[in-house]
Amino acid sequence: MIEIRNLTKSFGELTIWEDVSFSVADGETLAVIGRSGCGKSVLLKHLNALMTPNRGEVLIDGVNIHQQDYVSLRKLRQRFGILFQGSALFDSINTFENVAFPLRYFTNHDEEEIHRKVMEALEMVGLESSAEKETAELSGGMRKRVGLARAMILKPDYLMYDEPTSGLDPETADEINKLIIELSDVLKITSIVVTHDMHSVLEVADKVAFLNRQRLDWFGSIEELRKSDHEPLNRFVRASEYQMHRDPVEADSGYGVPQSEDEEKRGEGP
Amino acid sequence: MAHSLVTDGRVSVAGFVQTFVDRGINGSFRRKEAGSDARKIEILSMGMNESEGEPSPNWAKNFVLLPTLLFGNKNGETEPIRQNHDRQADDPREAGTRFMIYAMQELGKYTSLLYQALRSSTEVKTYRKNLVHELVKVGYDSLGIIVLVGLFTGAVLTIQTAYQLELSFIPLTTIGSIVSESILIELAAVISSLVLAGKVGARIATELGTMKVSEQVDALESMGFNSVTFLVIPRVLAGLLMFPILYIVASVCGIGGGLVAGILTGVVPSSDFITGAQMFFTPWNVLFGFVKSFVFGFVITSIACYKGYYASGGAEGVGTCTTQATVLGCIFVLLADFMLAVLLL
Repeated sequence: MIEIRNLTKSFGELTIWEDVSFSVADGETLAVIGRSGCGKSVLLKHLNALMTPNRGEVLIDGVNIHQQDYVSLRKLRQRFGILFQGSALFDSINTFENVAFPLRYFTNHDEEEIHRKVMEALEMVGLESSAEKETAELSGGMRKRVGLARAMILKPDYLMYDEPTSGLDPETADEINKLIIELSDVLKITSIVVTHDMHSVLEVADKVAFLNRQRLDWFGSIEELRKSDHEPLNRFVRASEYQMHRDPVEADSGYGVPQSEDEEKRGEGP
Repeated sequence: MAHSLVTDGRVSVAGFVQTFVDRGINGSFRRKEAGSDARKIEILSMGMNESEGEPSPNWAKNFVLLPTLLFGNKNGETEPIRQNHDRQADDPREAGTRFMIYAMQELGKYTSLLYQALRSSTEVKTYRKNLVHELVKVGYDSLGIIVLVGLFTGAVLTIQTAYQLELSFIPLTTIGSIVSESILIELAAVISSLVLAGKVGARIATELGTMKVSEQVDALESMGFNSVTFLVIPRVLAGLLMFPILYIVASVCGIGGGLVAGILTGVVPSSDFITGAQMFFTPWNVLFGFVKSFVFGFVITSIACYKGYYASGGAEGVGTCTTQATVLGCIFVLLADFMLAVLLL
């Protein structure tokens, strides 16, 4: 379980967010949403102590990750897998080696076992045929999928996704969403997805955290999100729907978008 | 008027110096002394335009800020030279203080990175593979350029020394002595290090800088790696181990180049050159060059690692860190050269 208490971060005089508190239960998928630059990725980097907060704490199963010595911190970090915004693949080694990288350093598997595990992971993301490709030859979507394979190769307890679908075509984005759901359902991994893609949020998330006005403006389940009358949140959701060519997210989403062809025709009269 | 610059129509040097001290050091260049010749002289001597009315010591500020302009501010950004009114700190003393604070901060960060590296240097398993890779990159891949630099340095040195001694009665063996000693004590280590500051330093800074800005360093950390052990130690170790070897190569090529150039141009016969080279040879000179190259290897690779490891700001940030790594590498090689000469000779 991840618990965040009164987390505050500022860069110099610029406050990113203040007093952010929420928790993510095991097996749950949390989506962190908000406008670009509101500090979603920064929040994510606090969870595994890649960044240090000005105030507040992050508890991983009751252990404050920011108060660990470096050796225990590294042990704790191994419980996390993270898919970075730009995938962060090591460009000096090929796809196979990228996925095999954590296995080589943190396990005692022999070469055969490593090969089997890497191919299994690559198969899961549908890239088994690209194992020998250099990372520079991969497309954006492929890079994300390789990044995902690498993040989950050690079977972490927590998987964090930083903008997993941004910059991808809708079909690839959908594939990534399906992978996130699959990982969460099959491996029971607790997931935290940072995104501004509402389509992705509604598809994968159980809970939603909305960062706005330098604080955690809204927190709740997907059902609560649909019924919420929180104006900034609704504005954010509506804007996302508009971006999706005014395609309603759900038949009963109730955000004032024409629901069906029939509804549109009704107004036209005989 | 406390110190008049003009006494009996003549400029008093003491008065000028006193005025400079009063106004410059106290940071009060703007104090007006209306109607006096002193003001005219002050303006002329400061290289400022009287028509602006309020003389502003741009040159002084720019001079104080020069290191910041060259090597970047505390955020690692190099600022363009701005006009007077753009800059908050009008006072050169303030700018100087800020630079000192910035320099101390940088030194602190650099030292702490090296301390981290030293502390985790026992985790050999983490960096063993990278070390082999770096030894090849720093050492083997630099052989070509080092051979070339050595050969040409020796050749040019021989021809030019011969030219300078042309009309004297100094024996030709002296050419061999001068060339070999200069190369062993100074040139092989310094010139090859300056070249390697460009080649090795720039490569390391770019590599680490790109890894940093594309979140690869974060990826390493998030997997549970110590990124300093993984990235910094093998590179600095490769510098420490390979620079002395490259020094030997540069020395051999330099003396060989001098010998060949002497024979080919006919300025000094090989027997004279070799006799001269052996005449004043002492192992201490080689050891001195060896120590120098060892220190230079550390200076160049550690500065490059430091600049790359703390790079920020995308492609431009990587460019800046690479430039800084190369420039600072060269400057600190020269400083270290001076210090070693003072300490060891």
